[in-house]
Amino acid sequence: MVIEEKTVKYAGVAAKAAGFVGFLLFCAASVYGGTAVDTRGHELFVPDHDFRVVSLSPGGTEILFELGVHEELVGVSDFCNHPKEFVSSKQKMGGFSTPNLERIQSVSPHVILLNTVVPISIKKQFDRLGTQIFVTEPKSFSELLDMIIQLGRLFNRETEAQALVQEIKNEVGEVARRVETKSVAPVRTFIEIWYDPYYGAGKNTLAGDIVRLAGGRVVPDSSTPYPRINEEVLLTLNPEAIILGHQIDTATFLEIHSNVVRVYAIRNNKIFTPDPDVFLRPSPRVVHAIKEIARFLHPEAF
Amino acid sequence: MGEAVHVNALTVHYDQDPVLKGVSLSINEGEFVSILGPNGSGKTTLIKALTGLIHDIQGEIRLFGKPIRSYRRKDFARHVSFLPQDPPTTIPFLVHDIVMMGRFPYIKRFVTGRTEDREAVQRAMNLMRIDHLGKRHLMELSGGEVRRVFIAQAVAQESSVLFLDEPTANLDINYQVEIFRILEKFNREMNKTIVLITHDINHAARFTERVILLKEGEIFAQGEPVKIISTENMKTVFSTDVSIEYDSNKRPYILI
Amino acid sequence: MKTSTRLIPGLFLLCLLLLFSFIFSVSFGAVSVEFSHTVRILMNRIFNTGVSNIDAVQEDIILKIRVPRVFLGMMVGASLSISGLVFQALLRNPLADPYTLGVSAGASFGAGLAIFLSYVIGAYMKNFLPVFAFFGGITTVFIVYLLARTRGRIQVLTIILSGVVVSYLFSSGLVLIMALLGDRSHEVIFWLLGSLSGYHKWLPHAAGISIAIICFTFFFFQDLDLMALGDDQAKALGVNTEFVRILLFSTTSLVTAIAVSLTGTIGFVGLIVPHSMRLVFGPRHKVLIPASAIAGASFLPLSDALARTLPGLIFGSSMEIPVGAVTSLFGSPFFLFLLMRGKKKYWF
Repeated sequence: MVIEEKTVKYAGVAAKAAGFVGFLLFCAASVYGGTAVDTRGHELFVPDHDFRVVSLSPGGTEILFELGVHEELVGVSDFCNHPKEFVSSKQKMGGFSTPNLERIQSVSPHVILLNTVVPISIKKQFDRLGTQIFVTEPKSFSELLDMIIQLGRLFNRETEAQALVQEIKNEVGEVARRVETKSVAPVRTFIEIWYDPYYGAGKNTLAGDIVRLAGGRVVPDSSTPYPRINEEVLLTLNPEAIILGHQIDTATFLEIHSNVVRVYAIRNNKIFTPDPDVFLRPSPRVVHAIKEIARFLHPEAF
Repeated sequence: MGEAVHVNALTVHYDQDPVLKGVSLSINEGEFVSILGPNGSGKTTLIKALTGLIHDIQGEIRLFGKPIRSYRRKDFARHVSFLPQDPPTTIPFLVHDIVMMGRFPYIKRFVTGRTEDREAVQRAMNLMRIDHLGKRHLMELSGGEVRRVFIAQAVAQESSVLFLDEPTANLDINYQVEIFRILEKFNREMNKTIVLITHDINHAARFTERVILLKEGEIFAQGEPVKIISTENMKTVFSTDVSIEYDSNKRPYILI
Repeated sequence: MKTSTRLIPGLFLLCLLLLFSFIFSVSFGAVSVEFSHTVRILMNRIFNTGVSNIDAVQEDIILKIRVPRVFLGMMVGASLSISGLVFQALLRNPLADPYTLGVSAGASFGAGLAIFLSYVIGAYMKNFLPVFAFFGGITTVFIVYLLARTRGRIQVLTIILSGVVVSYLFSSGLVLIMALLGDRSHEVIFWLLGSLSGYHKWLPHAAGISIAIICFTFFFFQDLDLMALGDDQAKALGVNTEFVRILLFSTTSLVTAIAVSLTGTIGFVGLIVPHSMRLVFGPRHKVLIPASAIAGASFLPLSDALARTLPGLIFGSSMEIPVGAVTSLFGSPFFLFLLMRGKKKYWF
């Protein structure tokens, strides 16, 4: 008789305990969220549901679209332009270094996507609003893929992220295979980001990595992300191909480069301007850029 | 002897205030004239107008019969030289350079280094006894020496008319006497027409032959020193009582 | 005479300095070219010897990139020095420099406007940037002149104040443009820092005009000397002060505007060079004008050569310091030196 009473007592306590723990778990479940790391290495946390995000990064906007983050995206930058219908329905929040802080505050986002580090004054304002910043500045192709995974983790779209990354890997892999098997050697390429003074993109940038994957070898071989060179260096480097990161017409280009016409790329008109919306943007469409550039650098492979 | 300077109804305003009111006078060649008057009576303005340095004037000024407006600047400078009240002392030029500047009216733009200019400068420096100072900087010289340099510049200009604004102000007595003696020599030996402003009534009385007394922008009186420098005039123009004595040449001097 | 015994050897030394400056500046750059090659390339070009074993790339570097740059530096250096000298004489102010009348503020505004328009219209305005800068500079001087005219005459103090006011006005305009450009205002900043690089298709014309004006200025050396006596005495000695001021202000502003429109605002040259020459040669403009021109023509390319090579030597970087930074680096201690040397031979 005593044992039966004790069992009942324990069972009761256990049941209450289980109920209590279950209640706690239930509460916890509603504050579940995703933790992720941005390209700076900073950790962020966003709840799984009812979150709001503003994207001042055109690349970020495209990735969010692909991941299915639709309603939760409450604002985009003036420069976000893809996909058209998706973006046109979103409120515009300003430029990269001139964000409209009041508008952003009015939607109180949990996270803002920015394509580069902002001035400290603006960062402090965001801190005061309690808004986290996710910087979308991958320095290589693999960093871009990693960034997509992190965004998936952050916004509770992990499966979609994995799928997207796999798709991109497949397509890029195909291009790389073609270039490797069907062409001779990597083409020495100068990525001209700006002129007067000349700024190039180095191998430690996304643009540089894109060119590498497309079968090019970036010159100058510098660890600086955007090395500044002058005409003398350009002449001596003598790149075989030049890829332009800015828009310019032929006549003007020749005028600006009149002192360096001896360069192989210019003499043989091996100059190409990829669509800047895919070349200079960390987005899923980077595949297009790689394809475009691979076709330009190695026409014999296609 | 012709008329060197002829002034008719000269009126000059600074903003709305009239500084000279209808001044008329005439200075003959070879005269040695002094202009006296209290501060603010228009002495410096008169001299500046006569040397063509003031543009907004009413009335007529003629030099040797021609209106001064009709002279070209360099041409005018060959006839008239002007020594201002406070010649600049902080300029870095050598004494010789400064005297040579007096030859500017004669030097054509594309020609320099003529013998006649060098000789004129040498003569001027000898006359003023500053030839030993030729290579010194102006800033190293005493006040009296600086004045002598600028008078030498005026001499090198070889003009027949000299206007001087207080040439002996703030100088030691020996320099004061020396400068007046030199001017007297210019006047007597070289027949230069000399017009000077001075605060020193005794010097004016002693050395000059005509005194022009200005009061509040008008000529109060002009004539020989013995006539103009009187106790009544001093009282009226300068509001001060003085006693006057006369030296052996019947020139007045003021006793304070 | 003290100055004339220094004169001939002094000017000769200056010419040597000019030659040295040319050779030095052409020999150094981001890419190292052996000195013997440099000499060979230059000789080949000057004497047309038709030597064949010249590396085409090196030839391009020397002849197409470095030589024009050095020539530009010489022209601008001479222009700025002469302008500074003339302004100091005409304004009787030892702190006057070529930008006192607002040329640099106006030219900077013009350049900023050109850059702004190129973004708005989308056309390539780089070729027209010098034109905009030039007219900006000239307009400013014109406005300053109009403001400074009182009763048909120009007073020295009024013109300096007008220059300051108008400079501020145009600088504010420039700041506005930069704010409107936002992210893209880096182009304007580059321009402001001053640089001898870039493609200058108008260099021969500009150089011709500038040299002509410098020679023209020489013939006014006596007038400039006499200006030191003050307006009244200069006039009394026969100098047509009004005419000389307007004429020389116009020509030197023109020359300065040309220089600034091609290179941006390079400071200190117009200040250091005339004062240095005064220290060495004395105050007579007959000597100062050629001396300042030659010294300025030597100084700027040398500064530029340092600007190009110092970062490589010290930091191992291929960056270039803007040439204006180097001239300022020389300028500040120079000013200290001037102050401490005292007023004896000096004009303060």
